[in-house]
Amino acid sequence: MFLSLPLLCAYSVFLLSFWRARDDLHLSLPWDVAMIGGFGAFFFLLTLFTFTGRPLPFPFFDGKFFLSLHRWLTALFLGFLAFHIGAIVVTDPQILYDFWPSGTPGMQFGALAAFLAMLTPGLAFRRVWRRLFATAGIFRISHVILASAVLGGSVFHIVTTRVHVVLSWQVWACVSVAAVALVLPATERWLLARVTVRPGWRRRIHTRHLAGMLAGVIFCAATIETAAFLLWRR
Amino acid sequence: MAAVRIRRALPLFLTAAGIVLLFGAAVLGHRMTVARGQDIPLVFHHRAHGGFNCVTCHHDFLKPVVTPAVHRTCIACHKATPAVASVIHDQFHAFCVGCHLNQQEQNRRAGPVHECRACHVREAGSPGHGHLH
Repeated sequence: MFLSLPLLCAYSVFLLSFWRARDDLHLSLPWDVAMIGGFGAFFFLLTLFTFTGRPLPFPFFDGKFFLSLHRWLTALFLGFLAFHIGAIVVTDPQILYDFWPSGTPGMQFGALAAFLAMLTPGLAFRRVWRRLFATAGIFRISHVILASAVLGGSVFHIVTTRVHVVLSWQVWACVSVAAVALVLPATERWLLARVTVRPGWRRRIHTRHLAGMLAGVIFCAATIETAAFLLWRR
Repeated sequence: MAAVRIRRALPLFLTAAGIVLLFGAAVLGHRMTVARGQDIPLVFHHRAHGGFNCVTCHHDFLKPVVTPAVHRTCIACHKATPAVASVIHDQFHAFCVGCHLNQQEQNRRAGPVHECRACHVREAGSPGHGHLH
């Protein structure tokens, strides 16, 4: 549970940074709810680049914990994404016009990113990737390419739709956060190769259930925090 | 050996090529159809904008034209002009939204800013469907 606090702190900073501008929009509550669902999805997408499934030195748990956490965070990301899309389509069905070829590139890139976001975990099922990819290494490279496309499409969507991320510093912050997320997995590997483990220390085993609990706590706390934040900002 | 290499490289190539194709098709489709894509149903209340100077919107107000004004629409002209056809969506939205935001900042009554259904509605008998009059 020690991970839930830094994650929720990061979520708070994330919301405060990207939800500041354009209070004069006077968007209806369903619109704001749908938008903040999208922000939540983007946050959990970023956490997927932090917890890639590869064991980290902190917490000193076995690999199953990190793999399970990655899966749970994927579920949260897809849940928030489905909520974001569903809520906005129900609120404003006219938004579907944007998915026609003559619609805005920002919306179309968002739709493509959402499609790839659903495809990527589908290809990551063990039975599927073993049939499609010769080795685990090739699967991982393909997974990284797809995930990067999802992140790139999402950032383009957020920046070009110009709903809440409109100020130049917000745009640069959003792009910078995405750029850091892209290089984070490689940086983690580089750091891990240089971390010295104290002799005698062993990774704690049988911790897979803790990942589920952590995801549950983060989900509940993030939902409550989002609702409170939305009421405060309105 | 070559077959093994192809077997290994093919999924990676297909993944990258698929992503490029998907996003490329979106951009290409947008560029090809934006000038003749279907208009979203739209109602523009001309009377509600009667307090503003005509040339604010009608930038060609003083230009001599052959076509009678009733047959001319903003969108039709912008679509027929290659220089602005590709940015028609962003341009019209920025124009309307920018003005509405300015009004809001001055604590005046203003039109919608971001909600689609506030402008893009299909009212029975309205002549404004798909046209800015």
